[in-house]
Amino acid sequence: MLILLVNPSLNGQNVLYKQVELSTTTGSTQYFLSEIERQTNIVFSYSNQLCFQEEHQLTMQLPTVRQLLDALFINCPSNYIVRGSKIIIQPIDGEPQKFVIKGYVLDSSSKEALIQANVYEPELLLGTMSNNFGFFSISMPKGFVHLSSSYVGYKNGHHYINLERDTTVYFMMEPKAELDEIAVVGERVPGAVKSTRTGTIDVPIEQIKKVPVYLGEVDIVKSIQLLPGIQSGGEGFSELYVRGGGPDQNLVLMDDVPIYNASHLLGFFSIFNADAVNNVRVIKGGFPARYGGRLSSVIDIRMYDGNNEDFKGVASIGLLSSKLAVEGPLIKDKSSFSVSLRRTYFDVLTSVWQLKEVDKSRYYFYDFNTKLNYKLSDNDRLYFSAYLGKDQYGISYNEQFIPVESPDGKQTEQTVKTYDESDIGWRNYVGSVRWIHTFGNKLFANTTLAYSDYRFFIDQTLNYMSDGVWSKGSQNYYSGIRDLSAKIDLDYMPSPKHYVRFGGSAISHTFYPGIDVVLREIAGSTPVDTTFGGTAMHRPEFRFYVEDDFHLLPRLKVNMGGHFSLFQTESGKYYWSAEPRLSARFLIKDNFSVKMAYSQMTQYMHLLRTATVAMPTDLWLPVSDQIAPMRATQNALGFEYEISKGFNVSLELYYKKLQDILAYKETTGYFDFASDWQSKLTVGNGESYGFELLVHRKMGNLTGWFGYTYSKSTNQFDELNNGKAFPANFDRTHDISIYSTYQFSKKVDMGVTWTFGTGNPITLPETKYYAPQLPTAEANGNATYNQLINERNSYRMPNFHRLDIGFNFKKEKRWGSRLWSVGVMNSYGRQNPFFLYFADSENEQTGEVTRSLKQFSLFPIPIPYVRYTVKF
Amino acid sequence: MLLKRLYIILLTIGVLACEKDIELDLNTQSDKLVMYAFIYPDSTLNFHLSKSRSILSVEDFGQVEKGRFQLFVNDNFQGAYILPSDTTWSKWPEFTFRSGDNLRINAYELNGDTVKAESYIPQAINILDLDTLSVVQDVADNGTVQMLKSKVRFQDPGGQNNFYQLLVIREGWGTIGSDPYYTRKTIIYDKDDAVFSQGDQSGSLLPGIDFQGLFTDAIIDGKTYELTIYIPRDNLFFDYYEDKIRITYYLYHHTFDYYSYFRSIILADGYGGFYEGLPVFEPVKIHTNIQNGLGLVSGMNFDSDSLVFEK
Repeated sequence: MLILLVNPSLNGQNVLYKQVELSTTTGSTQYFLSEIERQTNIVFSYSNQLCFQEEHQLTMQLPTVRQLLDALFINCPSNYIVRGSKIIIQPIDGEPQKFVIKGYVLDSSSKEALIQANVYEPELLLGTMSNNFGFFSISMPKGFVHLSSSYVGYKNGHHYINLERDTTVYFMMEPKAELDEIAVVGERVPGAVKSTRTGTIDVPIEQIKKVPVYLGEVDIVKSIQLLPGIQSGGEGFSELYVRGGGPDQNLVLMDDVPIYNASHLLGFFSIFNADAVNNVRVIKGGFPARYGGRLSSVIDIRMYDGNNEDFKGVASIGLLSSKLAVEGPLIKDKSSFSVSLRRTYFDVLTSVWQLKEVDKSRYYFYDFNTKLNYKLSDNDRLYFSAYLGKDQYGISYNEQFIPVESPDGKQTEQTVKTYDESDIGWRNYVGSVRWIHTFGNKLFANTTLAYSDYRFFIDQTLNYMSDGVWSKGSQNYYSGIRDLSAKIDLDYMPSPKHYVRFGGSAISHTFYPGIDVVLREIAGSTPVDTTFGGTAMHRPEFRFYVEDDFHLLPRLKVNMGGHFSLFQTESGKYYWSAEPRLSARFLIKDNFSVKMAYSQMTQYMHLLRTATVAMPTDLWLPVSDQIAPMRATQNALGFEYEISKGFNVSLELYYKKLQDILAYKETTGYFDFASDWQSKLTVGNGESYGFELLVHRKMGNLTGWFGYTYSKSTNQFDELNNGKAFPANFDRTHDISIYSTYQFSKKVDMGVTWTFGTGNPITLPETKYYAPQLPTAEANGNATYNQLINERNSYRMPNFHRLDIGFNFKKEKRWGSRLWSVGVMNSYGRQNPFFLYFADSENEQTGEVTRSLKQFSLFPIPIPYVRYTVKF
Repeated sequence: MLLKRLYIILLTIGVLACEKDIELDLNTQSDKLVMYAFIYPDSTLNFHLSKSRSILSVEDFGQVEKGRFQLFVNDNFQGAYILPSDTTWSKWPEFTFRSGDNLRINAYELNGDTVKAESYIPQAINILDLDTLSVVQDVADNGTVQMLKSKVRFQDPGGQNNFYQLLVIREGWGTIGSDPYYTRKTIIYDKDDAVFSQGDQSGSLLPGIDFQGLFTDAIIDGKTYELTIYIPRDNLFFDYYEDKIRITYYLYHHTFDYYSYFRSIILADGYGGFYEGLPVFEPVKIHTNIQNGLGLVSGMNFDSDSLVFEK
């Protein structure tokens, strides 16, 4: 190994990086040293112990000085000490001493952490990655070290360090102008230092923001749906179906805290305000041991910490909502904050034109994100983050005028107008406190206390006369899940060849299956509050993991680990699971690798679904003595070829088995409250396999991806479909997603998405037959015939495809910049099916009645959008 | 004004949806025989035999031109009969049945398929007691209402699965001039008793499907149970012509097949409340006990008790 010792004041202009042009590739050590001296004015000094060879056969023609010296002294490791234009060459005796370089990779202007940035020594091929806080640590041999950092959308950062002790460095990365195509080439991260992961996609947030979207609402989840292997539940919905798994099998994390319902407006929009999001990572397979609890995917979303340098803001007005995000330092170099708020204004506008209406309705949703951080010391930082989000639809009706009593209890002629009110909605409240601490130079700890509370609610308030007194009664129904958790994650980086992660968590889940609260308030008396209905279920869960990312061979990098968990049921019994996780990457060439992964996952809670589409009434429930945890095993084999920096092609094959998955029996359903929920469910297995092709370009004027998925997902339940296997609900054989943005100039860019998918499976009856009025029916039923279903999901809806186009027009202003975003969704007006049904229709002229299968489409015509954004 | 108009237009666009006919090749299924019979002790046999139709047919069912059936009671052959082809239901007063009878019916179309069904007539479960009490009940949507609290006591036979239904019928008698006047309606009562709702999810604001008084003995197996229901007191008010009112409590003891068929058609009939008319639910399989065919053959039995009020 060759070590360079140089004056610390040297930087990128170091003489070692001067280029030398070789007229011949054959010659003695002395000849090549002289050639360097002749071309670069460098003077060499060396001892007589240095090994000189009579003949070298080199393959380089335009090497740097360092590359040439490395080649000349490959058989006798030497230090190079640089003194101005003089280089002293000293042979090394024994193993070189090592020191730790730790630090952070940050955005130069905002000081935001850059997550999963590569940090590496380009010549020694040693490297690591920054963690979720931008932190890295790497051990390097004493002497001169050239440390680089690379992150998509940023210029590469470099540090040249004379390493004589443990050192802290900060990479202040500068964003790169997209129009600068040339800079993209030639700064590729060496393959040896890159990730081992399969099934993992990092989507740059800037790409997400340019995806054309319904009503101009930037939506992270809808962008994720465009990735191969991931499907939406139906047109317009923000659900995720990953590799044959259901929507409850995705672990959605917002700054390490699980989110149980990530949608607004009945699933049409996700709760993540893109202005507050720093990083999005999607894991579909090859799960690292640090993640657990869901079978099919992990969506790891990291929010901005807040600009440490300046006050910055983004404000935006759209058709549906307005947004404001502000961030800045609180105490210079100590503390910063970020706050973002999004709210719709249906209710404000509808209230104006409902002024003269007797009955009034309103709908709104909002998101509020905030994050504060405080630097306690160089090794300690405290984070506080919170998310509040709510959807509420309400109506006011039954206008009444209540007489006002005078203080002496007599009725006056004055009246107060009141309404009866009904509201339905759902909300997420999430909060966390995190403390990060570095123990020494190699151990990084993230300790989190988190609170997550999801509720669905229905409220009703009524005014009525009771015994001549005006009274108020209210009822509230709610269901949901509340988590309190404590968690510690430790990153240990003993050497550049190992990255060890370990940790554990304890979670106290409280499931609220459905609780009624009745409040009765009679004027002049104390309100009476009664709670009844379902009882809260408390369930503890414990998790532990350990994993190591390490080089087994120079070309073979492995991530191996295990995830262990315990979950308590109602009787005090514990379910447990020990899940091995393994992924490996073998470098065939520096830019071509083959990857494989094996993982097992266990899930202790499931979503009792109301319908085949997302509904707010969907209910999270735990495993029980009767209902065992769902389990999944996944194998994957992948190939990845890096065409150039930030431009990759990957092909991945996967096979997934699901055990003990749940479905409703065929003779029951969500609203069958006459049956205990556990007895309504039946247990079965699932299987999914396929391959996914992704061509992803993250940098340059033309960015985006092409994704193709071939997949087959089936389920088998003894009690469904006569025990025969049937296509999973959202099995999609072919799925194509093309997303592209083109930057015409600094002012104008265009985004286009085109998606195609095989129609979703659907169950259709083929036969009808007589249905009598039963002799004991309380009420006459509507149906005069019954429908017979022969096979489940045996038909497919028509194929789905859609083109969305959007433009962004940006203009720099004295105070910042403004952005107009306009576009058209479903540009060619494709009528995609939302659901199918049978209906009779009568020919008005002949009176002939015919019956046909009809398709209902949700967004059948081109839908324009516009949004105005200012950055200041 | 302009903004309002713009918003209305955009909202209209946003929620605009359309329907159109589509063509899918449905698998052709041969028509199946469909048989129904509900058999009470000491009562006439009512019998239905028809054929299923393609889902795209505008007819609900197909007639069987040359239908026949054979009846066996307690394995004794009662005879083979030709079914009339011009009625939906045929009545057969020549048979009499008793509690506990085992029944078997074979039906077939001449030169066609044969279907079979077996059932029995359950024993009546006697109402041991009927207590009523007028109470005031809190109802959030209109404060308090007067209710007739009724307790129906019965003994569930242990060691077997029993399926029940409690039905309450209001009848009124009177005269209009010299003509007799009669009214009859089923009372929809509150089904808050634990036998009706075992789920944890339900609430008064998230009502589940009304299973029309069906319940099982899952939580009362072998016990004497006092089932409590609340009947709105306005059912006790006489209308203008009525002189007498009778409220009858019918405790049906059903077969598993009748109970399962009844439940499944209620589920298949659709969901009320928020999601009414939205066909986004998993399909419901309708129960049948007809071998090689569709429909239901079941014995029926009940006990009753009543309250009579006179003007």
